[in-house]
Amino acid sequence: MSADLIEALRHAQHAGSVAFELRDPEDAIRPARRRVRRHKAVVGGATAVGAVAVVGAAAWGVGQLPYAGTTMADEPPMGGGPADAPDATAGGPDAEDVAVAERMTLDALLAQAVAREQGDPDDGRTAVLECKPEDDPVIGHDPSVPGRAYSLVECGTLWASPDAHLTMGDDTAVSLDVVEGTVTIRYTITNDGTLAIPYREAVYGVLETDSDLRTDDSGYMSGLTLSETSAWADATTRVAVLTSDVESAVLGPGESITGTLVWSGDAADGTALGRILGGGADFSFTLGVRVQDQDPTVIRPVIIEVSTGFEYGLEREPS
Amino acid sequence: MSEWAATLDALVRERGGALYGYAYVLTGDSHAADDLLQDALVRAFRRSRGSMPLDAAHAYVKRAMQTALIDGHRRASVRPRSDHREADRVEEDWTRAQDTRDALLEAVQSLPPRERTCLIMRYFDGLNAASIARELGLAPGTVRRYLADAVGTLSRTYQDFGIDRSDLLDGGHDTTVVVHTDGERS
Repeated sequence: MSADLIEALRHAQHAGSVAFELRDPEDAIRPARRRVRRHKAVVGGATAVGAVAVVGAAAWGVGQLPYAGTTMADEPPMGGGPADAPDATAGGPDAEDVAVAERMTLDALLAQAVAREQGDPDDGRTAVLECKPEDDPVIGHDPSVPGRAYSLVECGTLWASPDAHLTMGDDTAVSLDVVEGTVTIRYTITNDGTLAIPYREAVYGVLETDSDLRTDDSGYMSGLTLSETSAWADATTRVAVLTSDVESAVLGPGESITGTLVWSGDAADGTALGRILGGGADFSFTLGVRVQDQDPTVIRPVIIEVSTGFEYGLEREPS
Repeated sequence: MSEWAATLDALVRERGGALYGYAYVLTGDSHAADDLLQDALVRAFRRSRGSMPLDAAHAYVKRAMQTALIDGHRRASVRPRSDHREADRVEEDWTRAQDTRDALLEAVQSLPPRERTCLIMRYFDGLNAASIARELGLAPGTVRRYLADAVGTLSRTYQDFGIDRSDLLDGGHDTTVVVHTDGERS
């Protein structure tokens, strides 16, 4: 027998157990609970976010795509809900139109990818998130959960092939309504690379008040939007939203996706979004487009991140 | 409080010591044990919708720790762990260790995660190779190879600590665990 080894392992377990018992269990419960909430599919439980309910609204002007946002809040703010989401696309991601263009594959996208760290300057490369396949709700989706399942997951950050470059259009508009308590972004994302990019349903948005701060505090997600102090979990890990949908479309070179994302909340709630609405914090935003592999059976969550590089906030009186 | 949150709360309050202790056995480091337990709790509860018996939740989190460690759990880049290649070095001065227990723990922690996890499941949990394989979703032959490699490394770099190879590969008890889609086990 290996009595010495067993004794050593048991002793270590006991020592660890005693050390834990001396601590406040809340120190372990609180961060775990927060991270689980961020990971959980929330479509069926939108009311759980209560006063900080956020509306995600994104739409594409293509027939084959279902409405991509969800009616998460009690009422759509600022007319930014599904009925009013812009549906025009500049060129329009039509599968037949782009059939002649060579399509980007995930292997090609990531062939020469290098690690991207928090704080790396954006010098025109393609910022990509690579998430774990097992975290994709397409795999983990429970059909007994009503509606579509969304997960917030933490993904590795990479710089990838510039051939898949997406940019935010100049007509992207950001508005902030203090009375209604909403932040609205009407965006245009254009494929200015040379290859057609198949993508899977989701364009999602992240508002951050301090993207240089590593923290997962105060994150609230609903639908396809998220507000955080920072979406960086650590120097090489960033938060993403994944949906269980498998509908896909193709964005050809020079073509655009347009849509609207609306965050709604309360300036008094003390969250990152609340501080934005109260004028106490500027913010940046990032949009994510999940790329679909050429083989539709491949579930490999890879997201291209797009941002303007600007910070936004309420205008303040000069002091 | 939602049912899953209540279960998480009760689990950490009532079983947190045992779970953290197990994480400490697996990692040999208090910070790493904290990270591993957190990751395991998230893995275990992120797709759980309802309440779960504490025994089931306990077993599920424990398994999540094993698989998280084997997956090379993601925070490794944040807090550098001991270099697993350390297992290749020859520990000439192990006899200077204060006692055999310390030397054993150091030796176990120097093993690569897969070998370490299998060894701990074999000797701490008392499982046989077939049960370990079922728990980790590996082939029994793979587990036996990990166990043999682990003891081989320990023997080469430290000493054999009296580990009986026939007991290593053929001993232990059998257990059957069923994992339901909602995360509950029976």
